[in-house]
Amino acid sequence: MDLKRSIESVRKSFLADIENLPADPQKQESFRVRYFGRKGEIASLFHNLKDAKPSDRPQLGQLLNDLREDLFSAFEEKAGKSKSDGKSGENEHVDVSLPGLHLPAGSLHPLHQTLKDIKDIFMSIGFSVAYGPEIDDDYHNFQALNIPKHHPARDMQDTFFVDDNTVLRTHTSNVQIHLMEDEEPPLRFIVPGRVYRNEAISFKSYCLFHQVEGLFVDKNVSFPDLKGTLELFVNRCFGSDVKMRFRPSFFPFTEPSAEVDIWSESRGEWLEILGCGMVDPEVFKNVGYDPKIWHGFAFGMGVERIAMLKYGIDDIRLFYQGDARFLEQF
Amino acid sequence: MRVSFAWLKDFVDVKESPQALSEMLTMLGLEAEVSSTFDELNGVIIGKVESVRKHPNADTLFLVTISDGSTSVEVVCGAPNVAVGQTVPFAPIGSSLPGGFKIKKVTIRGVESTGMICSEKELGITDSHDGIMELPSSLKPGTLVSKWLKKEFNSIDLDLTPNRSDALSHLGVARDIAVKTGRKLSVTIPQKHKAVFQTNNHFPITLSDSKGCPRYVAGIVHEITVGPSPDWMVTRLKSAGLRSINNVVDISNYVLLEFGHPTHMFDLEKIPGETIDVRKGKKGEKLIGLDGESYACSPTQLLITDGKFPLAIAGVMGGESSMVTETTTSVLIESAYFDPVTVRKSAKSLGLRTEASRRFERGADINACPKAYNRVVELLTDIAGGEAVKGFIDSYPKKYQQRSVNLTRLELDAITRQKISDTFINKTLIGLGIDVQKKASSWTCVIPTFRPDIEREIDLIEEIIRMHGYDNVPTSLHFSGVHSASDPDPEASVHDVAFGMAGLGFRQCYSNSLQSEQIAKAHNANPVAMKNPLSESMAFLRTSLIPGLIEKVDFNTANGNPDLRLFEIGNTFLQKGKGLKGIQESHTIAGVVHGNWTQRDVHTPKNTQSSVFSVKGLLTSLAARFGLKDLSFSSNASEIFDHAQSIFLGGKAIGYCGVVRGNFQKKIKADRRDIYGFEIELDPVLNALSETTQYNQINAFPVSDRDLNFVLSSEVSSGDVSDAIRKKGGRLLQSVEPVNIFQDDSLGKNCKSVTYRIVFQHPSKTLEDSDVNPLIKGIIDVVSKNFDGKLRS
Repeated sequence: MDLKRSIESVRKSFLADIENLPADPQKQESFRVRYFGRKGEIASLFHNLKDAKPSDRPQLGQLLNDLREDLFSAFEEKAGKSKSDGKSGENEHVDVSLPGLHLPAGSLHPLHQTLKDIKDIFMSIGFSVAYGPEIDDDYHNFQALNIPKHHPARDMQDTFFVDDNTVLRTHTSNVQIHLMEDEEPPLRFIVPGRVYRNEAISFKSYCLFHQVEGLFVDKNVSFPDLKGTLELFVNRCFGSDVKMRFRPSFFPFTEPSAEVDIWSESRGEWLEILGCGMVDPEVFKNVGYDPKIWHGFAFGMGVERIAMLKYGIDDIRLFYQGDARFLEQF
Repeated sequence: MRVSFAWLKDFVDVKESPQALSEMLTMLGLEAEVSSTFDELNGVIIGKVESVRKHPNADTLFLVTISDGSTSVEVVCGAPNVAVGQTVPFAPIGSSLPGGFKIKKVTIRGVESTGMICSEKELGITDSHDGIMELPSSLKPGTLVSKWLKKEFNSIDLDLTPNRSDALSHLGVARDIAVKTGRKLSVTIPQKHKAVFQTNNHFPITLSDSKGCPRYVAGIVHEITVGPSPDWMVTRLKSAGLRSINNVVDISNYVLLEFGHPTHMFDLEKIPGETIDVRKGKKGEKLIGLDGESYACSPTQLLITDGKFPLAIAGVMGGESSMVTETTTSVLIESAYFDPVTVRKSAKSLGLRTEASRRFERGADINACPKAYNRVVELLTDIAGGEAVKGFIDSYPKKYQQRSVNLTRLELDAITRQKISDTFINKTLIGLGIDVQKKASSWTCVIPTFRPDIEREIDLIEEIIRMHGYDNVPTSLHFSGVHSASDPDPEASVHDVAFGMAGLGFRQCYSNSLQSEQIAKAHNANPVAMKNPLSESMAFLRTSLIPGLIEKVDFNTANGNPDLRLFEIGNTFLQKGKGLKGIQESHTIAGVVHGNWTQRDVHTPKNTQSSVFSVKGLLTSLAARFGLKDLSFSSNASEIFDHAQSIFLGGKAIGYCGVVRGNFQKKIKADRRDIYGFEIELDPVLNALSETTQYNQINAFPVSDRDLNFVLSSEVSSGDVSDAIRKKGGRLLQSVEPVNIFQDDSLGKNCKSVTYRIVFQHPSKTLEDSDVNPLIKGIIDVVSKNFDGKLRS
């Protein structure tokens, strides 16, 4: 049982030495090699196992294993190293200041994000979302909205025509008509979508833009409800401290009509953000709703306009250029 | 329309500053902006021109001595109209002009100039820069010019909505101010001349088209002298943004801006037919307008004729042949009312838009015809020395019935949800010129002819709220009776898809839907064409999202960002049949990749290039992300892509992917690049996404995987082999995927080695070799039989 004694002696000398384990990593390394290296003390004890009696070997082997585990964990603890899971990297130096692996960052377009924000606000107060065609007939885009042919109000929206009776919609209000033709009141919808205007392209106007139109029809809808709804929208979209005003305006499909402005402190002026009004009784008549029973309000806003104000973008063309240096900012 | 402060004060007391008045008008629905306040004019004074002589070194310049009443200085001046004795605005050294322009001593062609004589433009009055501004001689030299300018030229620009034709005049704007402030509207309209029956002294008037022209007032003034207008009138017109022409033309313009009613004056001697007939134009007729242009007439235009030949385009523009000139002594005054739609069609067809047509097409005041006539006669008599023939002809076959509209308390309160007092309502309606009869809880309102926009109860309600102030209406949130749509947003998952794309490193783009014919037809689609395009490059609607994305690849590559993953979601359009019904609008998503797919960095020694497999991997990954299990690909030909594959979802082809054809890039005039992309219809994807995922029991039994290495002919599609293995493997087969592929001569000519990893799993037991071996054998047989594939050992 010499081996058994040797085991105990190694344990004793290790426990004495470990008390004085130097802090220097190099000296620690030579300590480690002395006991745990391939030709170290413990390895040579294992080597001697073959000389032991076969009947004693299992017991001695167990003792050796225990010894190695005990001493190694004592060493790790003393050396201030956590018990390593794997073998690699145990003593490797890692420069964690290096940058991470390059992974491409995607992005959502600012108009998409703005539209999502607008949708979320109105959906949170019970509006549903509806969609409709970008190409429509003159009736749904104009006439049903109380804009007869040869009416000066047509000048408010320069129009692209496909043929005499077919237009690229100038607003998403065409969907208002489709909705009311298809469904019975009450209704509470917003309608986002792409709309077109035959206007020269510049930093402030593009031949198309995105609009969100809202429509609320019920028995007791009033002008104060219109104001309340849009005040809530403006507060959530631009902050509760923003100053806003409703001023009289004109749209053929609403009466009374209003524009909503918000005050820009930095520019020192009112900025128009949307148009709105009470649904004109003519529009109700055109879709077969009785204006004596039903009242409603409608509003329309440009997503580009809201996004430009929100993000401080000064050129509408940036939205359509696809410049990565622009897109990556959102 | 520009309104002058001084002019408004003819009708109503204005106490507000330009800024405050502008604010008030804006809040009344007349969007206003202060046009000039002259606050930036510092130190500019009134000066007298004492002498003018030629500049010794320049033919077009003058040396002018200017006096401020006590001292004189010499300036160099290039204005051709400078003359001794003129009273002028003079900017001495140290003064400043709008825009912060400071006047300094300068030397011009060797002569020192100590100050500057100003033009109207330099003072910020008009755009006129033809010469220096001449001021009334009554002004005292040495005093600040801004004081006088403020009094005479303070003005506000109105951006009027098309319903408010009444506000296209100083009187109309003053009326709104009077109602809002409670001040008195003082308007005295001369009524000296009354309608008379036609006599020999008068022109016979025929209204052949009395629908187009329901009323025509006309009369004659003799003995007029055409010449310059008096200072006060020149100043007035100028303050409203109009230039003085001569006294006769100015009078017509003056009355237009004062009352809003357009009138026209013909030279009486130049009406050969000695009669007036208002009729539709005829094909082949021509008229030279006041602007010297020749206009081809048609039945779209209403014409003023002398019985035979056109004299004027009714309500749009006078003709050159009958226009008033310096030699005119007698005029025929026209003060008519023309039908709005007729004038609009007429003006639009000729591409004309005049001050007159603007007012007629928005609805002029039919009752203003005699008033405007009398005002013109009064001014012609006062200013141009005219002798009026007594009375005027009023051709008015069918008298206009004024509208009566009922306003109820019930409806007003339903809209405003507040109690606006009866007193306020009465006062407002009366102030707006409405004849009111108050009943218990309603008002019977006879609408004045100058408010054609008030037709219904709701229009009256708007007038009440407008005067009450929109900001004084309470706010509330009234949300009873929810319309409960089963699907509150049928396109909610568009956002999820976009988000998924962004998560995979793609940037979302928006492109113009309008493009050139060449681009729209580049993949042999039939695009929707614009009848009135903005330009040739935007004459068609897009048939694919790919060209827009390619344009962005070009743009970004040129700007130093060649490594791109871009996508767009939007509509594409095809003209499949005739008319609107034949147009197909498709909700589409497309993506492109270009340059490096992964970047070399400190940890990664090599870039990897984008390839068709980048796109395929992306789509597969997205499908996995959204649980779309039945996405598959199959080789197919495409107009846009080379190495193209059709993309199937649930067995239905929904789009293509591949590398963009060089030929396609050439057709759309893009630079030749390796761009990989896909384009698919979005709606089938959204439909699939709307289905709720059903949970499958997790299979906890171990899998058994085998690698089979086949030598195949190079032409064999590895996907076909996978499909065959999948089919043969039966229900125990979980997946089959090629994991290694190589080509080497040692394999034989035109041969490749492909290793397939085949995974089996049983739902209720651990698979034994005895279960799997027969399946493997079957697979080896199939690959051998169908593809001549030999198992490599």
